[in-house]
Amino acid sequence: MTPEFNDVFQPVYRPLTHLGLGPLDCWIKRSAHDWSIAIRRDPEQQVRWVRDEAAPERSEELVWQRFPVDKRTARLRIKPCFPARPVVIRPDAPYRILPGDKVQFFMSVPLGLRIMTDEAQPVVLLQEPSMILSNTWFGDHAEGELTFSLRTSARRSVEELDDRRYRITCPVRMKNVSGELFSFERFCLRVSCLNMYRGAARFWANEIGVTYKGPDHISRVAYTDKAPRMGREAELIVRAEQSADHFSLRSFYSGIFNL
Amino acid sequence: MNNFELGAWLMVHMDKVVKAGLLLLIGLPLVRILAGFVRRVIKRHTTAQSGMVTYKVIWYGGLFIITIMVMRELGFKLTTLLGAAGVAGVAIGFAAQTSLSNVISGLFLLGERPFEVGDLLQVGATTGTVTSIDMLSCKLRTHDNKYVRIPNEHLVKNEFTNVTRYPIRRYDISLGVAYKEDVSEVIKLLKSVADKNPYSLDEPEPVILFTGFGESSLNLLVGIWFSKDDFIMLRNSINHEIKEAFDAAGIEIPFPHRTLFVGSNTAPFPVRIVEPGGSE
Repeated sequence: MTPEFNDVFQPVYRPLTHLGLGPLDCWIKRSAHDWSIAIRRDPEQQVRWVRDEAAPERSEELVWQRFPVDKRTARLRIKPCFPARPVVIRPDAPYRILPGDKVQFFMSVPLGLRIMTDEAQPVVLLQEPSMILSNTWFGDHAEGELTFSLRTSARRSVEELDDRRYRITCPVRMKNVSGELFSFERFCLRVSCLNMYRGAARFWANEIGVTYKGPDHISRVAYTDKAPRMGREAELIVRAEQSADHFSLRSFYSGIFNL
Repeated sequence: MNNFELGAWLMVHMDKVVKAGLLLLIGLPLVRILAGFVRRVIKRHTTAQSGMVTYKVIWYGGLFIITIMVMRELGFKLTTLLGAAGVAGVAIGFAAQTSLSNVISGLFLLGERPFEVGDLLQVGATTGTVTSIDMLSCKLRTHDNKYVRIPNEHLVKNEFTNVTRYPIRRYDISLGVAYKEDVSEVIKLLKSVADKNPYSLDEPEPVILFTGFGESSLNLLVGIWFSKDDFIMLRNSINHEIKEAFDAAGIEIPFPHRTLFVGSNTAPFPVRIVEPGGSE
């Protein structure tokens, strides 16, 4: 099962709560006057979701952040979240798609934790990705944007996906309607346009459609607004921060496709 | 005008003096508040630089208008004043050539916008963050918290570097490894260190060059691209990680050394190894 995120988090009766999400450990402590939150990463831990009252080892090394308890922070809300910036995903090896072909890929990004106040206009106390992603630059040196970078094996079917419950799987369908080979080398996943769905075995993001029309034409990237076909039963748990509009970007080099 | 005459003049023109005083008392704070408000709004929607320029235009413009209004209220004839100002302007112009040059240079800097408030500027031996661009000079705050005033004319006449103009930069590290090392393996290791560092950008890719044969080492240049905000974090982490990786792989970073020959036909220098205890 995928991790359950209780909508409202109120560990008043527990001295300490520990959340383990992939390599991320998070401890939440409630005293009479304060909330205290600390995080740590253990790169050895990859596939796990735990929620217990385990005390941290080497607790003296932890750096606690304290928040005063008042009306607004009497209860906290914990939500899963996407990475804070767009993610440029590159397949391990460039993928070439023949003219007229349609190809389905599955890409995934690490899940993060967002701890916030339980109110209509919540204040985010802490947002942490489960794993630290490397930075990369998308676009030219003067006008581009800072994004995260990820390598993907670009799996082709659900059966090939491994058990990584702290990741969000995003199905991407690519269609080459041009008359030449489409070389897929990198893809900028705009996570702010994605919904998050909680399925039985994994978290899903809405499906993305890419239509390649050739190096000299504008390519089309469409973010759908519903759960992917393979996760229809999945429950919507996080809404996209931006509307799932169409993004269109021009390819930068002839013969090399950057979205 | 002696004290008696001044008193009599004040008695006659009391209403004008009061009006002029009110203009100053109400007008100046009002212009200041308006300028501050517009600066905040513009800064929120554009840049700190645009906010500052707008603030100054409103403040100096308002100051000029209030001065004219006060003088009119006090009965000064503006046409006469402007005529006198023309003559005085020539005299002042000769006397204040440097200041005028700085003012004109300031206008060029504002028009050309080679840097903005908040940019990191390198002017000669000084590097600091631009805190303000004023009529006569620009002010920098150095990393060790010193205040540096640079006349605008100097900036227009001389070369300077805007370190943070572009969103990404490259951090170059020059290092040397011992002649016995396999350069290809060293380059591979450096690439892997850069890949693992979260502040090092994957694209543009790190530049790793074998730059030449030094006196004591094989020289390499490692150029790592990073987002301009991450400079301190990158510099602190990457040097540490390179040293750790070299130590783990047993790669030697040599200190300068020199091999001495005393001529091909002479015997080598006699060397005796002495034990710490003193016995040979």
